Amino acid sequence: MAYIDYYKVLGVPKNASQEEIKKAYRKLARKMHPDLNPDDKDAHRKFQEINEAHEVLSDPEKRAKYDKYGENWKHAEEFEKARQQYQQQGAWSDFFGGGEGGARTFYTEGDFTDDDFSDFFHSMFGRGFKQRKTSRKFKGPDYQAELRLTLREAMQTHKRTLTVNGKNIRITIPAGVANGQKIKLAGYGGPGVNGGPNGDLYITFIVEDDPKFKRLGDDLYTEAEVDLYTAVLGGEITIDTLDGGQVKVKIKPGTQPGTKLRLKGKGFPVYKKKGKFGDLYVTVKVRIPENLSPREKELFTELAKLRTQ
Amino acid sequence: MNTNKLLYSECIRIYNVESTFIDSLSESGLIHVVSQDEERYIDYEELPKLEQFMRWYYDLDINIEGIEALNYLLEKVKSLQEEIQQLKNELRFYKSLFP
Repeated sequence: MAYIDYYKVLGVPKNASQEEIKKAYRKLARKMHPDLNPDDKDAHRKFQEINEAHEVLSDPEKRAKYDKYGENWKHAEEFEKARQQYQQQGAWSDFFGGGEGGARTFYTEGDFTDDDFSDFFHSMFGRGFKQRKTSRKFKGPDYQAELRLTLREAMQTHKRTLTVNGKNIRITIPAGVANGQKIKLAGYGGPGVNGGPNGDLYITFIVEDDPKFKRLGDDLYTEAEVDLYTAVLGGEITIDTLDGGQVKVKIKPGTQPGTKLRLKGKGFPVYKKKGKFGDLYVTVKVRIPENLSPREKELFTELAKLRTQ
Repeated sequence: MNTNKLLYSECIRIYNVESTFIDSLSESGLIHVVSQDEERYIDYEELPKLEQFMRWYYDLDINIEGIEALNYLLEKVKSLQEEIQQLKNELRFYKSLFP
């Protein structure tokens, strides 16, 4: 656990006035506020640091304790242990103000709980920190989660059970979700402040690549091997589809390697449009026969001669 | 009783904000206040936005003009992020063609 220089975090001198601290905090909070830096974990972390620094330096009692022990926080830790011991015995006076209360002036996104403060903070000021009561009701913090799906899973509407903060949530994943797509589960975020509604849970889907099928939007791409004779003379081949089915496809005589065949409606389901599908594009790979028998070689030579005549 | 809308007066009471603040947001088109049967309402769906604007206004000291500009820029960031994700998916597809 490292010492945190709260003055440095806010960029103020050690003798800064309350007004200077407030000004510095507001300036940094405007830059790093999670509302203004969506999906930026780094900014969120910095914002927590700024809040923690402000929490300590804006409260004269906490600031005095921090200034007294500061770098020698280990003493404060010992002190804290002693305080807890005394508290259990019910004999601790409120001399150090405990780990609660404080002069928190500003509401911050999602509200701050114990977990948002560093170990350093806890060793100095204890756990069980609660913010100053505000009369306003606020929505709780939004949670972010990632969910990995295979391409095959993403093509079917299915249910999944997620564990968020110890709670099991059963969700329906609609067919056709895209890689990086987010869905919102209203009310599954953190608890609201002063009876406000719960926050929301945002799930980002990570759709893994499939070794056989590639996806571009709602279309799928795959390859199919066609033997030389079918490519030359025409015929029919069977192609596997992503959903585990098979389709028969006619091959025209004289089909060239690399030819793209479009199978309408055999691609990926369109998100939230039931019964609508993209297309499946099949690239033809012509398989050239190997290890020819003498007779085959003879016939190919004859064919070659016929072609050059 | 309207289940999807919150009475304007109720909204001011619950959030403990000045009516002038909500009026300014409404005038700027940032929040939609609906008039119905001589009463004013705010749709429930508008509340997360209202809370966000309150944080900017009261906690970060950003004025209404600043909120307007920020809101516009954040909408733009959101749409650019979606576009980047789509382009990333396309790039992943084309890269997979030439391993």
